[in-house]
Amino acid sequence: MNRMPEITKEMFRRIEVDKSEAEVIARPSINFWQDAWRRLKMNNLAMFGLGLIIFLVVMALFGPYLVPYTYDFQVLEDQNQGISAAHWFGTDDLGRDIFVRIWNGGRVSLLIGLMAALSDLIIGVIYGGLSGYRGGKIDQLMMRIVDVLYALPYLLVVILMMVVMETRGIITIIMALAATGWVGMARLVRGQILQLKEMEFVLAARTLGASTKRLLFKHLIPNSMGPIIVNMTLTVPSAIFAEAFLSFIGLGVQAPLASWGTMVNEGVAVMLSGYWWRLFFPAVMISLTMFAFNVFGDGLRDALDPKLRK
Amino acid sequence: MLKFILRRLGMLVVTLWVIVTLTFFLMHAIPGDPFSKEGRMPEATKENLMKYYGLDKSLPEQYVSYLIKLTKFDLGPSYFSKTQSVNDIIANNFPVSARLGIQALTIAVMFGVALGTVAALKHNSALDYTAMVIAVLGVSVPNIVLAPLLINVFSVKLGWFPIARWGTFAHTVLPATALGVQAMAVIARLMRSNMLEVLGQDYIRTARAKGLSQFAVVWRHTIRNAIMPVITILGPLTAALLTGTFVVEQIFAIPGMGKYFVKSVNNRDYPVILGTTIFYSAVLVTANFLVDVAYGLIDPRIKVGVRGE
Repeated sequence: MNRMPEITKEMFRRIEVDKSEAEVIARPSINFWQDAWRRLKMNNLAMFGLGLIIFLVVMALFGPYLVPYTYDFQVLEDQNQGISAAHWFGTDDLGRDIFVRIWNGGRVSLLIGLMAALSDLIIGVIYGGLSGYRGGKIDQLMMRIVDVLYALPYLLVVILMMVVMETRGIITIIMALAATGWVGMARLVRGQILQLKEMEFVLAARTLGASTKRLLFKHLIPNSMGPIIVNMTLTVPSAIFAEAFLSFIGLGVQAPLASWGTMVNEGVAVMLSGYWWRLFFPAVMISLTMFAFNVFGDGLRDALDPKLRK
Repeated sequence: MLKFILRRLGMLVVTLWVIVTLTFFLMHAIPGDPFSKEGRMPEATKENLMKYYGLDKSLPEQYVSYLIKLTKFDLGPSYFSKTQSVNDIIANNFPVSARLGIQALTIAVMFGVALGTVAALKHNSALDYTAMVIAVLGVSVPNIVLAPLLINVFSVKLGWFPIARWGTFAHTVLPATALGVQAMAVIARLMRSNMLEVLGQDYIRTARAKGLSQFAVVWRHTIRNAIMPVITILGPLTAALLTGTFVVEQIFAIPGMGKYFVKSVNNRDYPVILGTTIFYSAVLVTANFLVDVAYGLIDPRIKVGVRGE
């Protein structure tokens, strides 16, 4: 019955372990951002969004130079022309080339999206950071102000600002968006700071004598950068929508400057006349841009979520 | 509970007062008088007009009299429409917008919750991916694009619904859809992630282990827990729907408040802009208040009496 092979001492061999190698890290160490990028790369939809964003930015920068027209160049004989070799996206009722107007409008939209995100970042981080860091009465007061602003619809406030500022144009839109958009960011940053400031590393830094400024900008804010960046990415589509919305109801950029919102507005007016390209291209561009930033922002949120980190 | 409601009511009044004050002084910070657009008119006419509308008084006096009128729910006259006061305009136009908004919200909540629930229950299946594609598209396609698209497909090509205007139920279908889809997509995404989280909880395993049917597990234990965050975002979603009516009513030629608001913005009819803003804010602040109270009532984990103490 004894089928088991006999185990003898000779079958074993001693492996010498070099104690000094025990501390060697076999895999290259990657920091938080490299790890996030690694996970982002595995998310096909998010990478597709990123590719689209890069494409849109490149086309907004160089697209207008691909055709021999400018956004306000009118050829009245060529009005409402369909798609042709001369006019890739057709022309509008003043005989202006839609291709060049689309990419000029893209510059407006992307610039407004970028500026809105940046102003949210600056105002929101300072306001939320201060509120969360100080705490107590100041925090209470600052957050009550935010609560009141939060109760109002963002676009309604933007409309009011546009009415009051009287002048129309990109700068005015950016200012109106900046004045209203930071509220969400301020709430987010405050929440993060409240959570982080109780942690040991902050206590350690404070014990070592770090100043308030250093604590905020070297410790607290960099550690809340993940959610901040996600919030910024998702601000861009809402700002682009806000611009299109304002331009659509006649409060946005003024003629002859092109914007996707004004182009959709003009396109809707002639929608039933069969000039479908006048509505189609700006409508597709708005949707594509919002889609790209939304899926990229979602992917970024997943990639930066420490709970999903392995 | 009563104490909580009272305190929230107090906050509601303060919030509204701040909004009224801010918008009042914003509107009066605009340079020029409201009649400068009507071309040249004799000084005497202008003086009479200013006197008629109380614009000859000092700003603080105007503010106080506006506040006093507000407590009687009087939003003042319109400069542009000589026969209608702001109250008349709201009474005439708001019911249309309210109906549109409620229908849109119904679409958003019903389909959003259903889509999110199904996607979570069939996690990582084709159904899940389809639902999420719909949700991402819904978030990305803004109402100013969706509305013309719906008209082109369902009115022009298929002829199922009227192209525009207002009247029968058929008139309401496309505008309510155009208005509600974005909110639906937001709800669907939120519902899905909440459902997935709840489905992973131990008490769901317990419910299954004690032999509850799939229906009871999903309906009584999962949806009821997962739907709470959806209720909290109903406030912000109402705000989004409200601004959405500005464009949807424009595109479908619906005689609602949103269309009128845009018209008064373009006409610079300041009392109407001011009055409607205050009215909209009141609607929203009330909606937020109701959401808060509902939240306190529905979720047993929130003991509103001890909150914040």
